[in-house]
Amino acid sequence: MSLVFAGIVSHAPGITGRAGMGDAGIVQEFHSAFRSMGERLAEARPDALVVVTAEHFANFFMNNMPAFAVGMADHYEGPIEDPALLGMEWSVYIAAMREGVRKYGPVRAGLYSS
Amino acid sequence: MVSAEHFANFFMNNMPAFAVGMADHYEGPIEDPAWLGIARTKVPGDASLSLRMIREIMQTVDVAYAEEWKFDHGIMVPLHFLTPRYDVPVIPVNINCQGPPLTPLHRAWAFGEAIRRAADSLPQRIALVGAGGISHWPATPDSGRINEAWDREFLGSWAANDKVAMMSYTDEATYRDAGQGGFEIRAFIAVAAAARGRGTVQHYRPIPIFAVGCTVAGMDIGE
Repeated sequence: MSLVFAGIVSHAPGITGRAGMGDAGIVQEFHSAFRSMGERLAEARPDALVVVTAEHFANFFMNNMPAFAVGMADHYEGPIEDPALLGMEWSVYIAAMREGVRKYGPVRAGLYSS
Repeated sequence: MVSAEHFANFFMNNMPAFAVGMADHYEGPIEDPAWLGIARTKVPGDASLSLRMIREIMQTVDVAYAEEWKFDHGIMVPLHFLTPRYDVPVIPVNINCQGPPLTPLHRAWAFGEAIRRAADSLPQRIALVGAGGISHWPATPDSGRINEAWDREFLGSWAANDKVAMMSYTDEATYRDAGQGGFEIRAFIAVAAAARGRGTVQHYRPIPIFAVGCTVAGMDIGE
């Protein structure tokens, strides 16, 4: 048919993982605004939801980094932030991620220097 | 080196339409060296030159970049004849001709134009070679079949740099007349778009034991 709904949202892991650590009122207000969008989305009765996001080395790595990637499967699984799905202990993953940023910086050294 | 690889590095879990290597060295062949007749070797690349080309290409065509790449025969066979001492750094480029949906031919053309723009923006002297089959039916019971008339017609359009004629091929007709290997005309089309000149077919002969119409052709560099 056509595009029937469009919106943008945050996706930080703390939104769910640290829900209990923020000011309860502020968290509540944000979470309910988030859920309200879900209601408006449902009212638009979409047959499919295209989610445009920027993933963080879960599926796409430096050996084959696409500018744009589109899924083409009948089902997906998540979250990958699960030691069983990730295939490594969570503490090992976090330590490796921090070590990477410490060693190489948040973006590739020199890339934005010129 | 614009080629079409065969599930050596790029798989159905992340299949780029266009991929460009960005490493200081590569290795190949991924095949059994005895089977291919080419010894395993380390091939020099140039990550920083790749990066500069990729940044310019991406102004108009989105690509995947790859910091690791094991060459299969798609690149190793050409290198074996063209730079047998492996003394020229290689920037490998792959166009997905394996797992549909494939990039449309007009995007292979646009990609060639982007390669030309990137090459012209650099102080280095860049040579470009497209490598692939014309009609062939690899890994099927029809392997060894060659549609010489189809090949010669395509090569004629390529040598004339007749964009309209090259763009008129559909994947349905190519599959019917030239097999799934015929999809690799994308590599040749990209080179025609980049060179913008007239081509000369220096050699074409069907060699069934090689399962392809064996081709060597050059193109003048047009304005």
